[in-house]
Amino acid sequence: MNLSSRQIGDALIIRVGEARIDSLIAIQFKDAMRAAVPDAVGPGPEALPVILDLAGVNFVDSSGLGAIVAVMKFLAPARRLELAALQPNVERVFRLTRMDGVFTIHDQAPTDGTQDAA
Amino acid sequence: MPRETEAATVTEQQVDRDHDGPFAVTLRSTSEAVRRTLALITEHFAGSVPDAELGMLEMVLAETLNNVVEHAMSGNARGQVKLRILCRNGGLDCTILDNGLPMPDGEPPRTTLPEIGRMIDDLPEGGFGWSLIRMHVRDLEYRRQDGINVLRFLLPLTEMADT
Repeated sequence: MNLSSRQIGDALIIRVGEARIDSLIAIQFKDAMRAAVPDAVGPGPEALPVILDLAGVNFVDSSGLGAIVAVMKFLAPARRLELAALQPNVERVFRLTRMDGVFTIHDQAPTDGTQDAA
Repeated sequence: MPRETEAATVTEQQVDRDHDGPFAVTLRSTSEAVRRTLALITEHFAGSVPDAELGMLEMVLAETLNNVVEHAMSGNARGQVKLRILCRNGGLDCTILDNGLPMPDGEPPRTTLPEIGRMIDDLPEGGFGWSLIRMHVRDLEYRRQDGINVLRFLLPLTEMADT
């Protein structure tokens, strides 16, 4: 599982270096996300954002979608999972399952130069 | 036994473009084989099927084939799955055969999308598959014939000449 993370301000940006999050790797994805996010020091007043950069992901199936939801659940309440750079096929799955209403979705992941590209 | 293993590897995926129409494949019942099959299909129909509809085809086949792997075969990697796609009736006519367990109610699940409430802990992590399939296909048929599951459906396309 290829994940790379960087911290920008309060946000932890995790870029997925896999072209697909599907039933083949859904479990590894969950485990890798658990490992990639450091334990938060208890729920503070504001949940710290973890932004999943999906710019390189062109396919998510229902198992992959379930895995992303599972990550959101285990990060809460100390951290809030947000999504960025949904490619057309990925965006469609989120829209059709109405999961697009559950996540904050950014057009692009924030970069060091700009604060937030939402 | 070594011969059998070898044969199983070789027959894991055989693309047969001469019989039964534009695309036919036999694959073993593993997630890896499903992934490779979807890549072959995308390659096969790229150019003749618009990108958005190709994405729908990939999604529908991912859900149906993974259901076979996970439910009909319940993880048995030695099961055999056959997929055939014909271009006709204004769309892609897909048939999936497998020698796994029959569908529990004798028909594909009539699930609706899981409810999404406001509590994060209650968000659904599954139950999307058949809803996604049913949203995109029509003429969905299932029958059990001589110990084989036969699932057939049409993915309508906006622009496609019959072949």
